[in-house]
Order: sequence, then structure tokens, then C-alpha cells
Amino acid sequence: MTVDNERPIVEFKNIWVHSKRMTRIDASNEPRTVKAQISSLFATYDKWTRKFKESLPPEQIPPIPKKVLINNLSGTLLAGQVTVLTGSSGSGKSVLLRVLAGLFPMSSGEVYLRNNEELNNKTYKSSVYNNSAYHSIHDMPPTQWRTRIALLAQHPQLLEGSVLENLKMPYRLQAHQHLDFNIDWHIAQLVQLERSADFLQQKASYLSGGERQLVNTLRLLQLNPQVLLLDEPTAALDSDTSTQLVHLLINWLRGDAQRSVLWVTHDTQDIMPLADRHWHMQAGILSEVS
Amino acid sequence: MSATDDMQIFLTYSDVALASSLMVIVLIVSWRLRLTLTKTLLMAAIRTIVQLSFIGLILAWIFAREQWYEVLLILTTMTLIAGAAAKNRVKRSYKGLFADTLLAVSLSGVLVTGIAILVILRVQPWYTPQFIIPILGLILGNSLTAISLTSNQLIEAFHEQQARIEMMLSLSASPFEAVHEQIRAAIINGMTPTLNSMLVVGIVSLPGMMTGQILAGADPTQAVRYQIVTMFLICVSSTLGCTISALLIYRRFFNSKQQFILP
Repeated sequence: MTVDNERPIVEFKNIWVHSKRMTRIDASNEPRTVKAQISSLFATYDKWTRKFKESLPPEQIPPIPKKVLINNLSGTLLAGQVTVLTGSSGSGKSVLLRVLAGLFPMSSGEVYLRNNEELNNKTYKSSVYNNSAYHSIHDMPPTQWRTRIALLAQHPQLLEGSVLENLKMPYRLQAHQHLDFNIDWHIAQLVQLERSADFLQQKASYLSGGERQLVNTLRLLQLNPQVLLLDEPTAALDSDTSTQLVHLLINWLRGDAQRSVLWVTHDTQDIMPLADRHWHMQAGILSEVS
Repeated sequence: MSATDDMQIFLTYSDVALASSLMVIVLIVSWRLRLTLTKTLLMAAIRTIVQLSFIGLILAWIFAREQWYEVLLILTTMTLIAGAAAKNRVKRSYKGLFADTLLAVSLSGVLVTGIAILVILRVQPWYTPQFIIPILGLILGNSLTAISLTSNQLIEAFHEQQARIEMMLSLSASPFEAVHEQIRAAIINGMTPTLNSMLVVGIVSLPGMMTGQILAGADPTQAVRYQIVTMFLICVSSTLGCTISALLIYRRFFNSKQQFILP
């Protein structure tokens, strides 16, 4: 490995995310007056709609403590590494993944993605981003950012139609129109997953939960992202399918030295041994577990 | 009741009273079957009488005066009420929804009414209340139904299919690509009543406007031509209204960084 390869693939700095309703809560932080308490005893009855109006004026909403979802997080994802992220539900793991994927608005902070020239020349004709060593999430068009950093959700979302139609769907999107669907790659992957090519013709609605997640994963991997953000993709799967999916993902990671995985999981048996690093998250704060 | 030579029948107050006494049948049914609709039925009957008498007075006054600014005031009020009505039929509202529905209602209504008055009917002057008020009313009434159906369905779909929209976005779909399916379904949903009524008109149903014209003594072929014109006007304004409202609403659910947000 050259020195160059030790530079992180993704670096994020000082990310803050506040809950969406912060501004409204700020406005209503004053204690409720006696008058407001009395008037709230009488729900207004609307004689035209024949309903009790439940919406109270803003000053009568009881104050909720300001919520910080992500509290000043910084970190790096390194080439060829699996970084496992654990933490209880509501600790902000999913929010962090979505911020890194450019899917969730952050209040402040920076995310940098390493400029992979080899990948750039293959997939992008534009030379705008080839000059600097890193792309910033704030400068790159969101659809391009998401071709490089992709999120795989816990619950696979498939469209109606066959497996093949689902796998072909992304090529209809503008971001991937310059790519060609490669059915041989899928057949090769299906052999690894102990499934025949007939699987491609099955209706998506007849698939089991595990098979749906396999299709969901293949649909994402074929687009050749650089970083995968996994939001508990194996959580709802039986152990056989889960093992297959883990193999699929690890094989993908080993396929290119410039790839990296951030893996949210509760699975300490199958996935934790694969971890190069282990992060733990609690109440929006990230800590490294050694 | 008094029939004239050309078979026009003028309704007197006692005729109207006779018709309203038919509501007794409805009330008896409601009472016997314990539908607990009595209050609503009475309210509906009274509102029908009061609201229509009121608008009759206003229309008679406006028709007699023929001032362009008074007609414009009526048209504006009608449009505002239509926008508010479309907004109120949407279950999950957001801040700014009224602006969106009003824009959809007014753009589609004004454009189509304008074409009808200036190009098709060539009314002189354009503000002749006898034409512009009923035509705008017809168009607004239908396009507000279409717009509220589209808006309701689209907002509902955005709330319920967040996981699917997120999947599309993480596959690098643009916001429009990510919600294209929901927009398509919502516009179809809004257009369905209009399209269905166009399919069965004259076979299953005789439209109220045409029936009214024929009852009032108009030539049936003329009444039919008027009806055909209005059907097309309604169809165009519904399509425009549904499309505009869907596009306005979808923009509210994405920020400048192409992230899906709930407004």
C-alpha cells in the first residue's frame, strides 16, 4: 500500500444535526400563563365541521427540550475497512448514515470524499472535480455524491415487477444513463448466492424478506459505489440469508482497495469479527471502542 | 304554477316550499332507521336555501349593474373561496398549502375561463356577468375537487412512502425521478372523476347544467353544445390544476440539497 492509500476515503468534521422542530420549540419556550391554561380547558367546538379543534395556538404548546440528534461528530472511514457502528435505537446512528449519504439535512459540518481519479475517469466525463484531493458534500451535486456514497436501508424497497426489472430500474435514472446493465455480473453473483438465473424472472412480490434484501443489495452494488453505508441490512433476515448477504458485501469490499463500509448492526456474532474498527454512539455522541 | 305558451314554467315561492316539504320523507327515513342524520339533514336543507337565495340576490344585483370592477371582485372572491375549499379538503396540511392550492386553482381557472370567454364564446364585453360568473363557477367547482384529490393523495403518499423515496434518492434519483410514481398516481386520482363523468355523460347521467337549460326552455341541441364545451373546459382546467398543484407540493418536500423533508 502506498502512503496515498492511507488517506481516508471519507472524512467528516464537526457535524451537528438538530431536530427539525427546533425553531418552533424555541419560540414557545416561555412558561404557560394561567390564562393559557384556563383557555386550554375549553377545546373549541367548530359548528361547521362539527369537530373539536385540537390545534392550540403556538404559545400553548408545552415546551419540549431542544433536541440535538448529532452532537459535533468527526471521524474518518479508511480504505478497505469495515467500520462497525453500534448504539441503542434513537442514538443517532441512522441519522449519521443519512447525513453522510447526503439524504438528511445537517445543521453544520463538513463531509469530504476522497477524489478517486481512476473512478472519476471511468464514470464522469467532467473534469471539474478532478483537481482537488477531496470533494466536499456542499460542492458536489447531490445525485453525484449519492452515486459514490450509497445507503442500504434495513427494509428493502422493491418496485412491482420482476427481479430483473428491479435490477434494471436505476439505469433509467439520469445519473446512471451512461452505464449499461450487465446481466452476466448478476448471474455470477447469483451463483455465489446459490441461486439460478431463473431467480431474475421471479416476481418481486413473491420473494421472501431475505431474497428481497439480496435484490436490494445487488441493485445498489451494480452501480459501483465507493462507500457503502449499511443500516442494519441483516437485522430482519434468517441466519442463512444473513450469512450470504455478509459474504456478498465483504466480497464487494475486497473487490477494490478504494472501497469502505460503515456498518450499523446489533449482530455481535457474524459481523463484529469482520470489523476493523468499532464505533459506539450514544445520544448523538460518537466514541471509538478499542 | 303557471305554464306560458313556449312551455317555460315559472317557479313561485310556494312551488319551492312544496319541493322542500319532500325533505320530510328523508327525515322520516333518517328517524326510522336511526341514521342520526336528522341534524345534518336539517342543516343541509337550510344551508341550501340560505346560500342559494343569498347568491341569487348578489347575482341579480351584479347582473343589473354590469360594472367590471364589481364582477372582478366577485370572481376574485370565488377563486379565493375555491382555493380555501381545496386546501380544507386536504387531511395533512402544511404551512403554505393554501398558497399552493390557490395558485393551482387560480392559474387553471383564470386561463381556461379566459379562453372560454375570449376565444370560444367571444363575449362582449368580457365581464358580462351572465357568462363569466357561471363559467368560472363551473370551472372552479370542478377543478377544486380535482386539485384537492390530487393534493390529498400526493401529501399522503409522501408521508407514507418515505422509505421508498429515500431508496430512490440513494440510488441517485433526482427529486422528480424519486417521486415521479407518486406524482403520476396523484394526478390520475385527481383526473378520475372528470374522466369518468366524460365517459358516461348523456348515457348514465344528464348533467345538471344541461338539464337546467332544457327545463328553462332552451333548445336541446344548443344545451348539448354548451355542455360539450363545458366538459372540455372542465377537463382542461382539472388537468392543469392537478399538474400545477402536484408540482408545487412536490417542491415543498425537497430542499435545495435535494433532500426529502416534511414541510
